[in-house]
Formats: sequence, structure tokens, C-alpha cells
Amino acid sequence: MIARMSKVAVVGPKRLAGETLAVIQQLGALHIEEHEATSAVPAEAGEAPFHPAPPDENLLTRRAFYEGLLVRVNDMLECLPEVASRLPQLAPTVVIHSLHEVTDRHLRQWKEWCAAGDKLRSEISQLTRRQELITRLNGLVERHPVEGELRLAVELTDEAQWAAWQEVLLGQGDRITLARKTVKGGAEVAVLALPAAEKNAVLEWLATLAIPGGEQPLLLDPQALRLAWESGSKLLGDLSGRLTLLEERRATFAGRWRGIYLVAHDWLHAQLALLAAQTDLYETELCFWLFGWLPSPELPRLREALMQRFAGQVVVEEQEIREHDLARVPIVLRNPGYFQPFELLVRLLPIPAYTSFDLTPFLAIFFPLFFGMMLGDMGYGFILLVIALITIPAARQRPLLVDAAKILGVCAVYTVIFGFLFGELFGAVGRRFFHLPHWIDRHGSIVPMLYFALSVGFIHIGLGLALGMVAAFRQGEKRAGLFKLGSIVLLCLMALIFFSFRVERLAMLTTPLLMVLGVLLPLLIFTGGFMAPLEVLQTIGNIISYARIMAIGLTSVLLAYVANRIAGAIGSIWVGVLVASLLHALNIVLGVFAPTVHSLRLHYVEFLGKFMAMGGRKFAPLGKS
Amino acid sequence: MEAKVLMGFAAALAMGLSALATGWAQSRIGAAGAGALAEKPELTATVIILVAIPETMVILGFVIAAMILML
Repeated sequence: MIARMSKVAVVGPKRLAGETLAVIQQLGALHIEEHEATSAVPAEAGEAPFHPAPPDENLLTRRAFYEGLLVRVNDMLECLPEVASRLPQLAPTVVIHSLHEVTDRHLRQWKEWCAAGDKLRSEISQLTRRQELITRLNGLVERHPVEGELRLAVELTDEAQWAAWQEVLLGQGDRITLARKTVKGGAEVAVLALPAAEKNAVLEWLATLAIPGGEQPLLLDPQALRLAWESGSKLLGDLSGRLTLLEERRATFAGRWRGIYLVAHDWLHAQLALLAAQTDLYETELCFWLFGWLPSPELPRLREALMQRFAGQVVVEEQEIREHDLARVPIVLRNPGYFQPFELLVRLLPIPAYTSFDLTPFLAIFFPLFFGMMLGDMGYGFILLVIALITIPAARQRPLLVDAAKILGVCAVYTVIFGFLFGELFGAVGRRFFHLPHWIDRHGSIVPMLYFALSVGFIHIGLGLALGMVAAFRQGEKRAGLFKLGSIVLLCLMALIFFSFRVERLAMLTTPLLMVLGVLLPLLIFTGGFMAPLEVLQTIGNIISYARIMAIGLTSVLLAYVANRIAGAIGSIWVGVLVASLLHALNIVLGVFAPTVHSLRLHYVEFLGKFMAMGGRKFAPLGKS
Repeated sequence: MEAKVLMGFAAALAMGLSALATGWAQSRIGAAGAGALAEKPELTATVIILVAIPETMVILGFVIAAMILML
């Protein structure tokens, strides 16, 4: 439901303005806004006796200081990993001044550590690859090497390196020969063979080469490879030790400072919100004024809090909500426990206008109903229920996930109920093996299910039109209200005419009903304008759109049927069970996704358009953030 | 017999053409939606709903096909 709101003015001595805002912030219930006289809506009561409080240089300086510090604190918090950290017991003002001194140094230090860590990790990665290559190069060492010949090997990471080696060795004639080989693990290497007598000269020459991305070749000799591997291992151990030390230092730092930065972050946000609220203050020579909105049940709490703190020096006056205020009222949704999780789905939409309806109760009733009608399988329902029941306690820290799991739980219950009505447990398994009774056979009753889905659509759209009629009359738009009423009557008439064609006993009603329809159409054009017939046609299209309830339900049951048939066609019982499980798992995933999207769509597109007026403002009370 | 063949053909056309139309519309909406999501990931739910909207066409096609074959 949309909570009833009160429009209030808070008045008190000018010197108490700051403290009053602090009390209001503590309460977190008042949405402060500029007075209507200075906003786009013109005031009817004439010129206001107060004026906006002039900007205070001290406040502006503090604001600039806090904003600058908040940017740096945010930068630091982005760097620090989420480690367990004790919150400081120091006063926030002390923390803030300390942080102002050290934040830049901390940021610099952290960046240095990050750069050093990245460098170490890169070196370790390169060295690890080299060590792996050395191990693999052992396979290239020949048992009976050619007398007087030395062989060197270097890894090729791309074709360009191979081309570069070929080009470099082109000018060396037959002195150095080049071959390409693949070692164990698939790595490509270039093998250089050269006279042993020229070892030193060639090695010196190779050291001067600059092959892009290439490393120095390794001597293909067991002893040389062992020495290279040992020195590499030693260096690797040294680098790993340095990296561990660095990580420990970073973790210690994060554990010590993250809590302090978090406290500072929250405090700075609260202070900036308070300073921002000061710009909405008005004043006379002696008093301050501030205006805003709060849910009506919160009004006594605000009065009591101000009375306790200021002993009647600051008062709250409830003001009359006039017609032009209605577009400015911030919206608060207050729903009972069962409905609350469904606010998650309503938040995907724009905020409803104050004079309109909250969609939450309707979604909470019809969304699980449609979901259950589409999926309708006891087995799937039980599985979804178990998933929901596991997720709710496991995701306590994530309220959005808890709400989603609660919605899934309710949908699962409806799925079980409709599964019982359809006699479906993992498709036809329930009927075949457990002889489950069934009242409706979805698989074989396509046309009756189509009529059922259209009937549901008729009721749902009819409810939407009725709500639209109520909303129109409430806002004094009588013609719009009459048009909605006419549309409902017209839909009923068309349904009766349809039945009069289908049911022989009602055939005599066809002509009178058609005559009433003929009379009603001009009335509809009178109330709804020349576009009225088109709107009625659109409404009929909307009702037919509910056929998707049957269509998606049919795909669900057919997929389950196919899963069981495929599993049954496999000779082995265990393989059959495995295949059936996989196919049913796929069907459950599809069965959750499609009904969710289509149930939402039926609400958002078909149902909601009949009565909802959007354009409400978000309720943003002065709080700590 | 000839009438039955024609009815089957009509039902197939109703279903097939509406499915093609839905697929084409969803491809356009999907591409635009993916672009929107790259800039505003918070629009995920809205984009999913938008992608589902053209499915009305195939649903209507299915209803027509069912009516042709079964009524």
C-alpha cells in the first residue's frame, strides 16, 4: 500500500537550526524539500514571510573539506581488501583529522605495494614458465651427442619469434643451424646447433641480440640444464618469499585501517547529508523554517523527539495537502510481511503517483498464481521449495536475495498446488508410477486450458479496469471513470455473446445482447473519445495475451514428457535416470525463467496499464547517508 | 481430406510466420538491450521484460493455429 503522508513545517529559533537537523537526521523519517513558494509550483497564500537561508562561508568550507576527504577515503576503501577489521572506539572527529593527515601517504604506500606485488607476480610467472620449459627440454638432450657440436634451445611464444630467429641466423651461413621442435606439453622451441669451439663467441653474440619477447637460449646439456633449474628454483623461492611478506604487510595494514576508513566514510556521508539539508533551510529575522514530508504514523515520533530535545522551542506543524501538492508527495510503500518481498518486483517499475495504487499486493496475489499455473508440477515445485528454504537462511546478509528466495518459495507452493490439480509429478511419472489422481489433463486438454487461461485474463483485466475506474472517480475524472465502467460492461457483453454462440440454450440471447452492444458503443465513444473502440480492441488483445499461461504450461509439460520418453528409451535404468534428471533439471531452469518473465510481463504490460498512474517521487528522508 | 490439408497449412502459416516475426523483433530488441546493458547494467530486468514483449505475436499465432485445428 502507498503510505499516507503528512506535509509538515518545522519552526524554531535560528540558533537551533543545526541541532534540529541533527535530531531529524537521527530519526531518519523526514523528507526535506524546498518550500513551494520557491519551487515550480506557485504558492496560493501569497508571498512567504521567510526567505532561503543565505549561504554560510563556514558551511561551504566544511563541505568542500569533507567532499575532498571523502573522495580520498573512497579511493583508499577501493584499494583495501575486505578483511575482518575492528571498528575504532575513537570519536569520528579525531579519526577524520588523523585521516586527513595520513590518507595521501597511505594511498601512495598502497600503490607502491601494489606495483611491487604486480612486478613480483610477473617475475614469478615468467620464472615458473622457464622452469617448466627446462624440465621439458631434458627430453631434447641427446644420449649420444655429436662430437664437437653444442646445441641451444629457446622457447617460441609466437610465429614472429621463429621468423626473427631465421632472419638473425641467415647471415651466419652454415656455422649455426636452426631447427624447430615441439617438446612435451606442446611448447614450441627453436634449437640452435653450433661448433663447440665457438661456444663463447656465439654466446656473447647471442647476448647482444634483441629478439622481441624472446629469452636467452639454454644450453642443451644435462648439467647446464640442472644448474639453470637449480638457480631458477632458488630465485623462485626468493621471489615467492618476498611476495608472501608483501601480502602479509598489506593484510596487516588492511586489518588495522579498514575499520577506521569505514567509520570515516559513514561519518562523512552523514555530515555531507546534514550540510546539504542546510541549503533547504528558510529563515526570518529570528526563526528558521524547514519543510518536508513524512509518513503520517511517524509524525508523533518527530514531535516527541523535538519536544524532548528542545522542550517546545521547536515545533512541528502539519499542513494541508492541496491539489497541486499531490504531484510532489514522495511515495513510501508499506506492506504486510507476506507482501513485502514482492516490492522487489515493483521496484523495477517507475514510482506510482500518490493518487494511484501500489502494485505490490496485486503482484503478491497474482504473480505466484500465474507462475504456478504455468509450471504446475509437484516435483518441480518441491525442488524449488527446497532451494528457496535453503537460500533464505544462507543469504541473510543479502536482503535482495532473501526477498527473491521468499518469492520463489511462494511460487513453489503454488506450483505444487497446481501440480496436484494437474496430476503432474515430473511430468507423467506421478500418474504412471504412483497413480496420482488428476482433475485437469494439460497434455490432452488444449482448448479447455485455452478457455481457462482466457478466463483468468478476463478476470485480471476486469480487475485492472475496475481499479482504473475507482482511481478516475477518486480524482474527479468522471468521464474517464465512466469509460472504464463501459469497457467492463462491454467485455462482459462480448463474453456473453461468445457463450450465446457456443451454448445452444443461450442462443436466444444473442440478438438482445448484440442490440445492447450497439447501444453501448456510442456511449463509449462519448466518454472515451473516437479512440475508444481502438482501446476496447486493445483490451481484448490484452485478454488474449493471457493465452500464454496455457502455452507456456503446455511447453513445460511437453518437455517433461519428452524427458521421460528419452529416458525410457535408453536400455540402462541408471543411465535413463541420469538422462531424465538432466533433462528435468533443464526444464526446471526454463520453467523458472519463462513463467517469471511472462507473469511479470502480464502485470507490467497488460494489467498495470489499466489503472496505474506513474510519476511519484522517491521518498528520501534525511538520514545518515 | 483436402480441407484438412489446407487447415494444417493455415495453422502452420499462423504459427510459423508469427514465430518469425517474434524472432525478428526480439533480435532487434535484444541487440539494443545488450547495448543498453553495457552502459546501464541496472536495466537488466527491464530489458528482459522488453525482450519478452514481442512473444505476444507468437502466442496469438499459437492461439489461432489451435483454433484452426481444434475448433
